[in-house]
Amino acid sequence: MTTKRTNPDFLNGVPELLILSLLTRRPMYGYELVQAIRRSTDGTLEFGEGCIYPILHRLEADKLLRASRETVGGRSRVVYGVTSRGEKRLAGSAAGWRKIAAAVEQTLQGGEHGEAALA
Amino acid sequence: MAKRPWLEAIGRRLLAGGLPPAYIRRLTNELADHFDDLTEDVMSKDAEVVSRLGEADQVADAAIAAYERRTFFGRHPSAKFLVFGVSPMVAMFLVFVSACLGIVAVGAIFERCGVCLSGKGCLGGVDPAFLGWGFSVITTIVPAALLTFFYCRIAGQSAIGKKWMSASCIMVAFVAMLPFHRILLSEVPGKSIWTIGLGVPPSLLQCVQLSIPLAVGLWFVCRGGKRSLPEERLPTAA
Repeated sequence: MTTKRTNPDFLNGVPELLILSLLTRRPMYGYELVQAIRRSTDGTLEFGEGCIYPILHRLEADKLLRASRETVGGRSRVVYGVTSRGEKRLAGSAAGWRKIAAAVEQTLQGGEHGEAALA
Repeated sequence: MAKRPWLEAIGRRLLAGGLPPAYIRRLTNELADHFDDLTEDVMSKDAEVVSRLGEADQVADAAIAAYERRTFFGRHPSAKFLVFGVSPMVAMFLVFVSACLGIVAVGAIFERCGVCLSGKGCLGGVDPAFLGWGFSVITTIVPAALLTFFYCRIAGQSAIGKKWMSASCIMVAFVAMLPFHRILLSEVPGKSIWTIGLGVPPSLLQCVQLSIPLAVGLWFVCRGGKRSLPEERLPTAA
């Protein structure tokens, strides 16, 4: 699904899920993170890249991420990493997402009693 | 080069949206880094970089929305109306009544201590109009200025924007404008009369009562757009 490029919250709750998931693997700065999202979704999710920062800052304010200034490739960057609270949130959100995705998939496949919803 | 005007447009919009300058500085620094990265890694045309990052208004709106969600008033929008639309009027009225009762209490204490206050002779021929101004300062002007300061500070710290900041000032100013004092000093101790009323059209004193909180509010609103941007503070990795 390709979403509107300029939509900051391109899918409700999905940016947070992707950000937490990718940052759990390793800390990254904003540009790196956007590239990682692009690669991991094969460019399916497009959004205004500048809108990633307000989300990062909000997650940091919620203590799900921590930020520190580091020198990366000779340049000073704000690098984000996941806190233990963020890891717990990711576990809960991922479980919820899988449950919803499975339910939607089941419905699209016709479900237990239903018919195929989409041709 | 499009980078500078793009960042300045974001900064201006965020300042107008009431976001703290330190946060604006941090966000624009990160966006500037991102802009440079995109220019170096992928493309050379600024217009394409801006297209990838998002238009200034869209990025700023996303930042304002995300920042508001961090605050109590952002998560509870209806509380804005109660706190900045209704409570300033109630608070101003209660403070006014409390200040009047305070004056009465202080007067009662002085009289019990044998200090003559209520007779005309005791006050040494003080002009009642002057007393009215004094009471107005104590019960209305100073409390209104302090209340306006209080509400503007909360509005500023909550980053809810100048609209609600202005609304709270106007509410305080409106209630502060209404009270007036009439004082009749009697030759006979205990027979002087202090009348408190609420009404319009405003006298000169009531215009002063109206203008002081408005001036405080205006100062806050103007100050919000002219603050300098302090440096961000982030921990540095060892």
